[in-house]
Amino acid sequence: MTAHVDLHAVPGHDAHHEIEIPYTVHPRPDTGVYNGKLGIWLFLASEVMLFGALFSTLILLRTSSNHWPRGWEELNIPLATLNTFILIGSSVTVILAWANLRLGQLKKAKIFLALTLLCGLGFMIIKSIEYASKFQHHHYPSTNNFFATYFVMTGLHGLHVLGGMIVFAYLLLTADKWYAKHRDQFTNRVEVTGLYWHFVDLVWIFLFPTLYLL
Amino acid sequence: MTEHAAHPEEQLHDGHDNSPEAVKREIRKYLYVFYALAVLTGVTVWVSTFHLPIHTAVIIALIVAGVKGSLVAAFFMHLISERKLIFAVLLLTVFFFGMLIWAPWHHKYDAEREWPGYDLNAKKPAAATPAPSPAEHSSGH
Repeated sequence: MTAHVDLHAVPGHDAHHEIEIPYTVHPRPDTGVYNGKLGIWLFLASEVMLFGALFSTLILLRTSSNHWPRGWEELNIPLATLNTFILIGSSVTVILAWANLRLGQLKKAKIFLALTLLCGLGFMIIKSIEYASKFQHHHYPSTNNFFATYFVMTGLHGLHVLGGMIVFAYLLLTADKWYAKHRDQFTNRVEVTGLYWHFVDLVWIFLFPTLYLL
Repeated sequence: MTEHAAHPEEQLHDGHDNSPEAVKREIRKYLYVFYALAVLTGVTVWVSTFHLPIHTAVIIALIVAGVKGSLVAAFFMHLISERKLIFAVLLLTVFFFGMLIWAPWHHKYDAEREWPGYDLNAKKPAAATPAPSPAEHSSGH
């Protein structure tokens, strides 16, 4: 049962003040960081556990198997290597966007945000080419445990790339408005989105050798 | 287009040194990290072309990936200058991540002792259809 309380009816209470969660852009004295940064680190901690479970599954299945294909026998190394360079490059462009915002250069920051978005798009296009090739050869998640882990892990990672791209597109489209309204807040948003993006890069740094090269 | 020139009165208050000199120094550092990551990626791929035995390949791949990951975490995610609270969160995460990796693996060795030669990946034969009981025959279904 949900209790309904009309806050307007309570003397001395303003409904808007009751529900407002202030966005603090300055580091809090007790935590030493601003709320958004602590929030994204807690989220990333949960992401470590999510991908950790999949890595654990991969290790268990692979070490338990009498035959497990080596990555280079089944997967496309040149395409995956290109994707690695693209993702590393996008980590640099997002941090350069943040650095330029700190310098007060919105125009340059937007260019770097757009480059990051393009890198994400490039990554997804290459990944879809790779998937299409696998499907052409009748390799599906149901084919064997190797392809099951390959599709699940790269698929989940791809979804994270897609999520990051959506946020970058939003930041890019609303940059002028947010920057004019609250420069600190916008800069912090780019920083925390960047932290998420670096984590996505970090996951790929381990996925690439684990799935493709070993 | 809103373009702010960096000005002392307009410094951000996010806990970072936002002076133009400091930020430009950081940008140079980020580029060096990028070059290092690119070179290490090349090294990983190059080593994989030797098709080393699996144990050697795993050790080399994990060392290179560990160095690359540390560079990303330390410099791009600026953990090198992060607050204690963030490290506390990460320490807890690392512990549980370690458990997540260790526990199933440990159990696997237990299982191997109990059932030598058991292959998790082996396809199990289809279960034999049980013969219908005399009672079912007589029921007419």
